[in-house]
Amino acid sequence: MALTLFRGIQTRPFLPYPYGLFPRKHVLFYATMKSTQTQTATHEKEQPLLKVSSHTHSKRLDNVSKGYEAIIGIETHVQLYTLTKAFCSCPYSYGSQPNTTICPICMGLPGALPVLNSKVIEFAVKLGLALNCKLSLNSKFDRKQYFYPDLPKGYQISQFDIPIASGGFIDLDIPVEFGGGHRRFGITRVHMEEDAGKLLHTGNGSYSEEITSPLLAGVPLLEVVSEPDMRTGIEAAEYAAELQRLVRFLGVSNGNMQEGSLRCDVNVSVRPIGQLEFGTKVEIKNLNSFSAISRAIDFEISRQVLLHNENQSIQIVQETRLWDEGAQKTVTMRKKEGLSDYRYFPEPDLPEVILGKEYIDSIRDSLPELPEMKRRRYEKMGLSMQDVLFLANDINVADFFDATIDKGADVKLAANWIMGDIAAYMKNEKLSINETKLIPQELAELIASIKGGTISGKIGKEILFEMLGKGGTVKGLIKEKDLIVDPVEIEKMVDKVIAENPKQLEQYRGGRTKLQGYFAGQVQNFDNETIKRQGKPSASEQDPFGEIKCQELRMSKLDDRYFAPAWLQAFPLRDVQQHLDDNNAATTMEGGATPAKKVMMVADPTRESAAALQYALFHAVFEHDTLILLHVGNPYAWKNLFSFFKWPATPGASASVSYNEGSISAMKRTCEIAQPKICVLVERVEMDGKEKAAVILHHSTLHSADILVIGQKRSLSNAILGQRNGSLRGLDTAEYLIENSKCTCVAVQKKGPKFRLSSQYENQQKLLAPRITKHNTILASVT
Amino acid sequence: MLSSVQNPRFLLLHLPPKHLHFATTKAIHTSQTLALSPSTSPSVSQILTLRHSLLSRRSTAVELAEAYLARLRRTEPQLKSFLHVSENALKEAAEIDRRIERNEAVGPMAGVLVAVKDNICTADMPSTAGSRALEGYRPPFDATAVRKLRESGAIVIGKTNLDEFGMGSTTEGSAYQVTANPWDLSRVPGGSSGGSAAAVSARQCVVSLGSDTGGSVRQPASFCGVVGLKPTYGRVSRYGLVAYASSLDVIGCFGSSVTDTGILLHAISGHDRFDATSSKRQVPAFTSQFISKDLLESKPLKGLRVGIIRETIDDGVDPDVISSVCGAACHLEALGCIVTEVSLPSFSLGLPAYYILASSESSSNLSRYDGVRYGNQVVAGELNSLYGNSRAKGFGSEVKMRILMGTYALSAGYYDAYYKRAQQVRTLIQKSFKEALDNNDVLISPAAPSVAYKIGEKKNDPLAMYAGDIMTVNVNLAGLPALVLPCGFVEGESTSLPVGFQMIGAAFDEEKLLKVGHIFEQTLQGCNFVPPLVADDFPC
Repeated sequence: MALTLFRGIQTRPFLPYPYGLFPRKHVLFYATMKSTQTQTATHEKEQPLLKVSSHTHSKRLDNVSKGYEAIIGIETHVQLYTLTKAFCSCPYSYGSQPNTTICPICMGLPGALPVLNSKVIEFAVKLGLALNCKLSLNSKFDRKQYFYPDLPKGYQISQFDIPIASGGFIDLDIPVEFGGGHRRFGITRVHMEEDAGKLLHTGNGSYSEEITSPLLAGVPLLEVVSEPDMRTGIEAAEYAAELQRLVRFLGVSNGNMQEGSLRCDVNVSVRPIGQLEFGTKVEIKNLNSFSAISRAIDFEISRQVLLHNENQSIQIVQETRLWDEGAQKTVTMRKKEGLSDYRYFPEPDLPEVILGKEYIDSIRDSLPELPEMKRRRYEKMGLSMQDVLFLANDINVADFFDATIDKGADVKLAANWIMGDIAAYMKNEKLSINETKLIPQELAELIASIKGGTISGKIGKEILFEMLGKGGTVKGLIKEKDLIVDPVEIEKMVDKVIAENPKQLEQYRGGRTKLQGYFAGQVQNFDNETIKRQGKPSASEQDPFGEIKCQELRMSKLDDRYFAPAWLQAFPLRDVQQHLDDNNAATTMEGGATPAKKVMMVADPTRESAAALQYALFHAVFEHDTLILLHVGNPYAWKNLFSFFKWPATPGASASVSYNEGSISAMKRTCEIAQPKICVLVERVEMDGKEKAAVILHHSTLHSADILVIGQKRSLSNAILGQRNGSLRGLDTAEYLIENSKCTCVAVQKKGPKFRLSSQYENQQKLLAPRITKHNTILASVT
Repeated sequence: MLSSVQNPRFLLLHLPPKHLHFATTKAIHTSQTLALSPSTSPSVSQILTLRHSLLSRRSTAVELAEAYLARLRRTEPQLKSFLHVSENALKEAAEIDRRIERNEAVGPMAGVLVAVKDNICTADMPSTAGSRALEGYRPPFDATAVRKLRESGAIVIGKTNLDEFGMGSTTEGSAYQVTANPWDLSRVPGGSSGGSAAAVSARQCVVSLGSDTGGSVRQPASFCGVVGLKPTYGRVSRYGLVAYASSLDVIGCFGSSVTDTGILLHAISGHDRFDATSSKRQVPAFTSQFISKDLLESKPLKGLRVGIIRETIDDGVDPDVISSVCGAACHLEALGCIVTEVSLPSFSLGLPAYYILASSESSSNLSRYDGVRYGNQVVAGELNSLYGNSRAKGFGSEVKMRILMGTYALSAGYYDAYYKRAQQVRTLIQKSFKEALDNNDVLISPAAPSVAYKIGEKKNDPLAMYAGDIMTVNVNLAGLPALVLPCGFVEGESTSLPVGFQMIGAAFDEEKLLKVGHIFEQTLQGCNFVPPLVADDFPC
């Protein structure tokens, strides 16, 4: 896939938010998604952050979708988190044995009557209010009638013509990696109903032998029907994710898709752009994850568009299709022959649902802060959209963050700690933030201690992990570990290092300023204990050369948001630290120089680029090498426009420039910290209307780079939305560079902790070799 | 014949008592009111009598139960009013005896044998609702009404026959047997609670529970000469009543006297958390205000406004029935009531509206009998055949017809024309009743347009049978309480047949109905509503 022109997501024309009005057409979009793992917390299933992997259909889809637009609406069933079922007092929980939690009522025995669980109304009102709906003060239940063994009574108690809530909307923010932007999707209605039973097949195929499990029968549901406002798989998946956040924030459902607590049925139709009537809609079921929603929709769009293109649109019939996760396609489940007649009529066993104004007001007053409100608030605090989306994603994380801020912690630092080390810890240990031993007050204390200079960032990190795992207080741990060192001692060490390395000192004085890192390393390795004892920055203020101070500052700046923005969080700081230590060790032991080489890395403020940087730092460069961060700017890029809203404009400078400026500088600093002995250069070039790949190729030749490193991204969604452009048709930037560059070109994708590399070489493994070899050498020299 | 009742008001005022079928010779001996043997005057409360003899230890619960069971065994082969007779009745009676012996408190209905219509769930007995679809089905729970009865000490003696799922007016619609009228074995007992009415009438039990969706308690009460009460919708929990038409169904009471009926109603009334439509209103002690005949003033009902519904004493109603009802009105007037004629213009609309609503709801309520979870299942290789065949085999023709009608009325495109309009009619009827009851304390009408008819007479004429519900369905549509009291006799071919009249009260005003009914019953001269079949047991 070459330059994928990001044709953009069609938004509702009169969106009241400026985000919706971006001219997103003609915007270039390079790297792909799935390159880095989300650095998120806790269990993966609780994280609605999307992962969309590349897809074999992408190229085909990309071609066929041209000239068509998709109309997508979603019906979501939210299983309510009530203690008992909707119309009886049976408890229910996922995974209970079949037929254990049943009674005459949910079995539909003759004579049994439903009695409404009042929690269901409360939850419906909550969700209705949260979705900005109009509530019906007088609503009623109706019977929806059809025969199926999962339906014990032969009808389902639902709401037909008067839903409890209707005419609302949901606001959400599309993650930056999917193009960003704010969306508002209409909510047609929210109504209450009971779940049907679940069929368990016994295997011999006879219906009389089939077990119907009324376990689920009667579990309360809210059905949320959206307006057909979505146009892409990503938008639909984000809608579902926002709904999940909403129900979790409200505490009305656990929202787990795997368990079926949140079930989305998607309606997709396509029509030629410009046509007013909707096409024939197809319903897709069996969507168990957000990525399944996204992929199923993308598949369905391409299927329908292909049929249109082949003049076979008559074959698009109103039907229900199942998403086959294995085959990654939709298959016909049942065709609808006309509308089924559910013979709705008012449920005579239940009285009308009458809502008092006072009741509604009391529920309105008790609503928690909702995801949208949280995001807007975080945004106002000055956090980037990526940070905002991360923090507001999980209510526990958001609460933790808020509590930390309440204790007076710096907003950006708190966000960084949570999104970085804490999130990494949570992920490794498979814990939610509440399950760790860390409390917000101590995080605030930790941040204050680092900011105030009591401890360094590195020590702060140690304390943090201690607190995450075992608890304790910052003050207690500092005292226990005796971590604050006497500045005088550090000065002594500095003096000693300088005294012991007269040669290097001379070289430094002669202008080899790069040696500052060497000195720092020497001090750190003075003895093993000392490494830990990174004293206060002020301790080295009297250092005649200032190198130590620089090093100290770098260390502490690791934790500064400005130096490590969100996209760099993909790049675990612990690894950097580890690598730094390894590297220092290597330096000390080997002491010799290796032939310097030039590595050029394409630097963008994206995750893919961060992955490429990580690869470059850990595997491609070594001491004395030169790393060139090449940033190809495009003043018309959507990201720059987007950033205009995201970053407060600095006076006198264009907002977009300041954003990229900040992120590229941050990359540079990261490089200096991770590999203090390399030379880092930043090169900024403009595209000037040329292809990005061509610009990169030109500059790599210009600098006679030995290795060219670029982050690579492949995404189905972009492939569909994008448009091919000119000569590079069929290839993406990275592929183009691999084919055409004279030097070694490495395209980096990150899958979890592993790199996935592609280059001109057949065996990509050797691209990981330099460091490994080096390490072995070190070991050899030790023994 | 109808021309003779063109002016009922006139008729009321001037009809001499001899035209009515009131026996004038025998007065009830007040000393017998608390007689200690069941062989007592019919309008005397069997429950109070029984309680007195138990507590004064003149007889035991076992002896009393044995007497009823003996009569039941003797009459049952002819009547066939029971689908199931409890094997535990004597055991339960013995338990009550033990408690009395130990001077423990016993409930207000201790030792009272109650028959329960077979569409009301009982945990220890089959509950078939008269349908093959539920053949052998034993519910795992007692209906709330049954539970309350047991809690108050009553003994459930058995399950009585009915038209399948309560759909019918003759009890011929039962999938199991045809019940005969104790007054004339060639006639129907009415329906659908025919078994319960016949059982009380023949003194096979003390009182019984029925259910009333369109008159299923009141019409058989009239046919069998017993007291039948349809309470206000919501007064008695429907939990455990096999649903026919949920918005109309109520559990009703049969007794041989107003007092018994009132005691029974009190025992089963009240809010139930298992029925969202049950009312939270206080349940008054219905019988506490009853005044013994001796203490009655000359005009005990002075000032009570009684409206006789004009549309119910019009064309199509048996003139003998009309004259009986007018006689009852006359009697009320003699007791001091102000009787006037009231017109309910929407009255005739009630019947079609009722059949649309009841069929619609039943088509839905009966969906659950698909053969999957309970009842008879037909083995089939494919799901739709399993449903189709199980239902085809399980349901009788009347039930099938109503399911079809109801399904049709609820179908897309017909809903507005049928179901919705019927609901509008229902609202109209409710309004006109409200208006009439604002101006009157009670409304009276016949309970049925005729006396009991011959078995098989209307079996093949469903419309004629449906028309027989005209007197009662409006009350169900309005959700009001109504009491049917025997008020006289009409000569049949071989024997005289009882006639009842209906008193309709305001919602939740059963107390007034029972009070008026009690006075009416106490002052009704010389009528003995014990059928000849068991008359030997009750010499007057």
